[in-house]
Amino acid sequence: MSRVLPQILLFLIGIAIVFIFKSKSPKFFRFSSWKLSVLVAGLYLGVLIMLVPILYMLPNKDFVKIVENKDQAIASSSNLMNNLYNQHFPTEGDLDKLEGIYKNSDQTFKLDSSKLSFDLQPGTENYHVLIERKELDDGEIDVSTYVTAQYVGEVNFTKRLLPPAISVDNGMLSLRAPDRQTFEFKQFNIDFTMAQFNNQNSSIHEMSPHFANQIIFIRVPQSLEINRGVSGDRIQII
Amino acid sequence: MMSLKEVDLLSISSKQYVYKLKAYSTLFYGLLLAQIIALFFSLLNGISYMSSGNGELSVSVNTYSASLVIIFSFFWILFAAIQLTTKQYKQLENPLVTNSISRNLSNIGFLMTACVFGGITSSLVGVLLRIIMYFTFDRSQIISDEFILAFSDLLLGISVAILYMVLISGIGYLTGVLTKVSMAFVIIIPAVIIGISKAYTDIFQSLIKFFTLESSLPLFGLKVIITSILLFGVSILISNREEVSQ
Amino acid sequence: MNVIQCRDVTKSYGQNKALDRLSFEIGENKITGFIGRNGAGKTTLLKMIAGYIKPTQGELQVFSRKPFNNLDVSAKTIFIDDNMTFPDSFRLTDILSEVASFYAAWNSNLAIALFNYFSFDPNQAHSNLSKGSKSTFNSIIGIASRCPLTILDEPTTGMDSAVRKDFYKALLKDYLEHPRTILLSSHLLSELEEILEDILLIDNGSKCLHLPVMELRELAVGIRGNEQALLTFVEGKELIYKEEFAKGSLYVVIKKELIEQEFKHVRQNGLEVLPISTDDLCVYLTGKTGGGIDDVFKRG
Repeated sequence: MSRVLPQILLFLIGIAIVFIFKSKSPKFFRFSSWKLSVLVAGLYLGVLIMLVPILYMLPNKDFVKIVENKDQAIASSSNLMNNLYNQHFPTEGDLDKLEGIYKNSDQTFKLDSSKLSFDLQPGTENYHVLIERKELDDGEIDVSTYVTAQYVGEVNFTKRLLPPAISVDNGMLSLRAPDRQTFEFKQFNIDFTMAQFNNQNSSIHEMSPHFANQIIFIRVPQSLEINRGVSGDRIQII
Repeated sequence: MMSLKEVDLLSISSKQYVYKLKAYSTLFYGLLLAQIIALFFSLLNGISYMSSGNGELSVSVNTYSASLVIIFSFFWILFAAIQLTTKQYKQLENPLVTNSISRNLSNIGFLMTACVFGGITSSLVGVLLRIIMYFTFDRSQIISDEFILAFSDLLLGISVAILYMVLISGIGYLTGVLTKVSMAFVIIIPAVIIGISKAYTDIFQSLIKFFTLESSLPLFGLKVIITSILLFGVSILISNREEVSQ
Repeated sequence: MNVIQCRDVTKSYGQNKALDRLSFEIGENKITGFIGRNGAGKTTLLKMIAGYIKPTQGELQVFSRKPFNNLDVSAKTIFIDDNMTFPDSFRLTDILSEVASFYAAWNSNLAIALFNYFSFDPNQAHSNLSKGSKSTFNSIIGIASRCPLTILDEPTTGMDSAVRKDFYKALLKDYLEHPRTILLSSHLLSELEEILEDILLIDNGSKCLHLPVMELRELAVGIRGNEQALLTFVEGKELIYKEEFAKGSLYVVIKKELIEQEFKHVRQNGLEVLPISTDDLCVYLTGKTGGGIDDVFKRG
């Protein structure tokens, strides 16, 4: 129904326009002299033609670019998530190398306690926290946040996702999700007259989204005592 | 008797063609209005909207297209082709040197010009739509993909739009001529169309698909040109014996 | 050579015969008036000659060709009537210049001179003209086109009498300088008479008579007088028209040739011979009253 309705509406509007013109075309249109009409038509065509070079002169660096490695990025993202579920944990070096996975923050905190407990605030339920022990006791915690591929249609906007807010205070690492983000995109479909011969059978593209996962990678001093607390099931120690 | 050299069909037809270009020039305002309305609709809310989200984010995509402009232009050429066969328009030819073939040839000439004009302008309104979007929308939200219009695509779009308009004008012209022969066709044509589409959905759809699913431009052009020649040819044959109404 | 040859032409619309077995010929460079009452078939005949419609039966030739759908005939013919329409996108001056290109003999100087003489507004649209102005404007096109066959169907509709006179003068002057075949139709003969050479009287789709205007003037006389005396005098003779104009007094119209020999008896019987206007004669000839018209022409 939702596909038919716009077509019917379109048809009705078309018919309406035809009838408006058939019944009472305004006096101006009827009695406009041919010289004026030809002039207006020529001007209209001229202006439209002039717009073509203008369109090509407009800088397009601000646009959302499409890089065509979506399948690979999504595959490596879901592969990574599978591995996490199956307790195959990547090293930080692995994460950096994976395609489609993007590191969106990197912080270092001075540790002021010999214990570390966690405060995972609401909204971070989907975050995967991985803890790796360093080979030395330098009294510092390194926190990197990663995000897996985030797509809508062919648009990869992983890099626009904000990292969570992380703080370490009195041996408590708190993780707070960023405020809810909204993304809006404007897509343009080429005319059906072009699409018919462009190997694009459907003129309306699938714009299904693929949502990202967040991975928090924490490197702690070797001898730090870790208290996973109530939400311990989301915290994995490698 | 005053000696006048014999007139030839082609020169009379081309004189009539020029006459009609001027005479029917006000039809252009219909096209202009149709395209502006379509542009307005296209700009207002796009052709589709998708929104989705999870706990952390929501994402929406608004899809725009200038196809509506072309579709409205199709309506215009259909209307114009039918109008040329009406009494009101045929009367305008009475003061001229004319016969049935010359009036048909000049009508077809006029329609072809209207198709070329309509095809070019309707495709170029897509350029206007992009430029308006460029300056009024947040550029960082615009997906570059098809927003950036390849010049070859523009030329392709123009030629395909012209071909479609030629086809539609042929359908409209034949319809007009048939209804002129007998008002019964006013009832018969829609009845036959509805009847066929009810009873043999496949025939009707395959007839449409014959054109819309053709993905080779030369083949498409050939199909349209042959069909249009048939449509206009039948129109000329039918109207050839018809008396001039006043 | 005849410009128009019409043999047994019939035009029927369903059961209705607009023209019924009409035969006549019209020679080159003559001004012929097509006279008849409303609905007599004048316009149908003229449109047929102009090639707008085709005869149902019979043969019609214009410039030795069938006019229907014929480009050569169309190029030599112009048909002017008050149904002529021009595009609303044309101003009056546009029309003159646009139509000009179609007619080889078009004289734009004449067209412009007439246009200015009748003080038209160059920027007006044709459909905004009053009925009379429209007729005048269309007639300008008819005259200026100088077509070998110029057909003017009721050209003076709506014109005031001053304009009519000017129009006829202009038509005649241009005709004398550039002779051509002109067909004029009207239901009123009186004002046309001066410029017509021939007259074709049509009644109910059939030819009533076709003869030079001079002969038409001499065709019949009116006789007025005492009913008894008059009836005795015309006894046995075919009357074109009979009217009792006062108690005991009678008025009859009769063909001149029927009473040629008895002309001197007329006065003796106290009867009065009156000339009859061609206009009235045509009305009587095509009238339903008076009776016996068919007989009159069978004998004539």
